[in-house]
Amino acid sequence: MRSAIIISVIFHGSVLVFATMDIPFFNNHDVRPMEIIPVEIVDISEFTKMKKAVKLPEPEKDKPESPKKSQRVVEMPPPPPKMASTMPLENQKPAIKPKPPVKKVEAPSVTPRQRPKVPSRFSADRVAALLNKIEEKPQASELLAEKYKQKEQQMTSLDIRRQTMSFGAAIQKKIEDNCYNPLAGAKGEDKENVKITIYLSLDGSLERPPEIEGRNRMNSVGQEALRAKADRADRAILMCAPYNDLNLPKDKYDLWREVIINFRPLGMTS
Amino acid sequence: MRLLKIFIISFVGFISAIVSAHAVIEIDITRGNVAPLPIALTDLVGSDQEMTSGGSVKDIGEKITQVVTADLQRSGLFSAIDPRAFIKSDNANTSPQFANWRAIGAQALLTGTASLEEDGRVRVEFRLWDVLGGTQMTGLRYFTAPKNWRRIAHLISDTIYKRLTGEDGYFDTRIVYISESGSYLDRIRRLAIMDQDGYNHKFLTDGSYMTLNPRFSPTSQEITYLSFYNDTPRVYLFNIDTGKSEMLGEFAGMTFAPRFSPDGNKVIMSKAERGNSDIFVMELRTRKITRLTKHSAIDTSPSYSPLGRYITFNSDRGGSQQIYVMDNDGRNIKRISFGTGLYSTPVWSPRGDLIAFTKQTGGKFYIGVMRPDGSGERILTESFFEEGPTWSPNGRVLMFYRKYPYDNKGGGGDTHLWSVDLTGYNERQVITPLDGSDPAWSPLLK
Repeated sequence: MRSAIIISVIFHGSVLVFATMDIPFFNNHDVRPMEIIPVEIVDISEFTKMKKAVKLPEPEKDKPESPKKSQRVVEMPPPPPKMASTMPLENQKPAIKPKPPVKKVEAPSVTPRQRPKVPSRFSADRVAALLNKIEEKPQASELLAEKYKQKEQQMTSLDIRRQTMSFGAAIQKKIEDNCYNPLAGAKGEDKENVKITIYLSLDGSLERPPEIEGRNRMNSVGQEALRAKADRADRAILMCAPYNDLNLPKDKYDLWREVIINFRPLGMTS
Repeated sequence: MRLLKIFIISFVGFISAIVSAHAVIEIDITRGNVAPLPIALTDLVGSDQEMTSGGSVKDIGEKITQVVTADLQRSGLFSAIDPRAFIKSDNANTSPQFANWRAIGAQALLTGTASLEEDGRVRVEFRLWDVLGGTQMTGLRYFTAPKNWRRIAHLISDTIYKRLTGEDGYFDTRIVYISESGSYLDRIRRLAIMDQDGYNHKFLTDGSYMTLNPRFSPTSQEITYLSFYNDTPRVYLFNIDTGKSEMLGEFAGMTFAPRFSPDGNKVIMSKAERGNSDIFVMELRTRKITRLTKHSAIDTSPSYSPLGRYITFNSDRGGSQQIYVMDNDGRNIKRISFGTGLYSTPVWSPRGDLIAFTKQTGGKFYIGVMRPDGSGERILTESFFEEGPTWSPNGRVLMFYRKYPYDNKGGGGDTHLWSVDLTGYNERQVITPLDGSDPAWSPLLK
């Protein structure tokens, strides 16, 4: 009796937990992740904007808040407005132009693009000012990094789904663009689909031959068209292998090891 | 407590199974790049010491490969790899070195042998290999008299075609058509027949009387055609195997386009009475004629659906020449073409999914297809003048004839047969000794 109660409590408790934690099993297939992804994208872009927003106003804030950060402001009065942004190094070019000979001597091995960035007309104080600012930047980025880390640690089913979709999209694009050769004009080409499961090795090669669902049935009389269609799909997968050029992350191998591919060409028939 | 342990273990296992199952990627491939399949066709290996009336067995083996190559190439669905690119020809009796064939981009490979039997027949064996999968897809052996090597080649082509596309082939077939010669004003029209690749050409009539509208029986090597004897149209039944011709009937009015029913037991045609043309059907066994349409408009060019339940024809009953579909007893007549221009010569595809037609609009003629309900109209070809589409037995290719103008006034000029794939690609002229028109495609030979 006691065991039964404990089992019942565990079971019902776990059901409640699953219901609240968005376990994939409870997600209806109708609720496609495509609806959710934009939300994530918006989040990321907001963070991106936040970076810029944080960086740009900083120097402006520095000036009014001179009492707090007076050391910095005092050390480099003229350049601060330019230094405010880490990105627009190009803006410094005009100011640096007058000192090209110095740059050439100092950084002969640097690539042409970087030369304008290298010029150090700044004094040590300026560097110090830079460092001071860098100290501030990490604070924002660290916060973001921490947020991301926290998110990564909390790999929800949504994250897994999003990543598998990304890997799947890469494989799909490769097969569609380079390898699959459907038979245009074939009667019923879009009627019955071919489902193939492949298992990838860590190096992107096929771990074993593709498994075609219902292969035995296709060898019977009257199934020639379906068999040929399955063969075309099979050839596409074999021709595209290995898939190492897709740079599938090895640390996420569990997410892309097994791939189910449905061949359902649309609009290519009569 | 033991029960509790079992429950917890199984519960954890269940959850982990759910999580691991979720990690599987599932994707849909909905498009691709349509391109001819690269195939390597090696010469069938034979001995040059074994001689037949048609040359050495080695020659026969090589010629068979040439015909197979031409067949597959002409279909537009295969791209034969230049033999000069072959790294090394394998022993035909062993499994090929697939890596060598993969290196030159081949996806399928033909190997085989030809040899002479003691009874004088040629034995031809071939294997079709899946180069990427490294497996044999099919392998067959034929015995035949040396003179029939071309048919063996077409049979091999059909087998390869079917194995790789899933559709029946159409290479072991014949074309009957009207061979034309003479001046524009004094044209001689003879019935002629040839293999689908233009070989084994023969004239079936001598041109004494004008012949028109040859049509193949879908079940036997018989042809119906129309001949004008003393200016009176007669419908004949010609047996290709025996060479005998039988008159089905002599009709007082003008008669057009006799065509077999799918079971080969009836001939449907249009017949003019008192200046009005309607659709009639004749039982071949009893010669009983039944009227199917009765309308003041002109109804012509009837064609059965593959199962014989419906008939498509053209009529101007709606004010202009359009395509209609009705039941095989003449009921439920429905117009299916509604595009601009005039529609004529509808022919139902052997696989039932399309109706081919000739369209005239804007001073040009077109060959096109549409679904039996009139939807999905697609134009496949266009020119100054073209008409008379006929389907290959697998419903994949259309053959028609095209006339070129002598001058800007539109005077009739050279007339040639052309073929085009169902998709509108792979348009090719079919070479005939003289001008050719009104082609009809045979079923697969048996």
